[in-house]
Amino acid sequence: MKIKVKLFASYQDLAGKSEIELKVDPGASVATVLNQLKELFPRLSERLGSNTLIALNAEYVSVTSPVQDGDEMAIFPPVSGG
Amino acid sequence: MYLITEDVITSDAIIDQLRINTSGAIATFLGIAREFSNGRRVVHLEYQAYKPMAEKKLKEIGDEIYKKWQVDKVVIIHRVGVLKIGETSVFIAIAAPHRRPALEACAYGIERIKQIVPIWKKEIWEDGEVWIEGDPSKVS
Repeated sequence: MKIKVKLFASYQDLAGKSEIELKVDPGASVATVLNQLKELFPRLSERLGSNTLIALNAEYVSVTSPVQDGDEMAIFPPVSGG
Repeated sequence: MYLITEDVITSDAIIDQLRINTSGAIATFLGIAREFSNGRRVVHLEYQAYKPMAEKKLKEIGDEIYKKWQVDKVVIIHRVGVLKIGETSVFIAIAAPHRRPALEACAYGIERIKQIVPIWKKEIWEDGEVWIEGDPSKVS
């Protein structure tokens, strides 16, 4: 199945991309996708950790959440608006 | 009204729309692009948002405010893109029957923005730039 992953702020700079499409295996979780991203983007991988925020279809989720075909996932550092 | 916009925020016109008969108070908060940050001179700021989620989270903050306080109207607008020093980055206005809920809800609104709304600020200095990261412990 295919999902879209959006990257923001420093993560976007480290990956050199703001959005990618990924093929993921059925039954995959957010954690599975994060591992794929770490392999694809070594510079980004050093920054992904407990502070990383993850959204699935525009709602915050944890790494254990399952992903479905067509999902839009987003990963980003702690927010700094205001 | 909950909005992420690239346009300059014109707060006065919005405040006038909040002059309604049931509201005895309008509290406002404006975040301003400041020239100095930890001793460094900032040339300009750049804000990036995950727009659909950011607008959804602004509305959630508004819903939280309507539940917690007796208020008539909530407006939250956040600017994105390049901001010059002195421009408004965020605007919150709360109209309420009385001053206390208006002021408390306004203060709550800006704190929640800094916790849950997917927006990031980049400071651009004369000799470099950095994405600012918020406090990671506050998301819920």
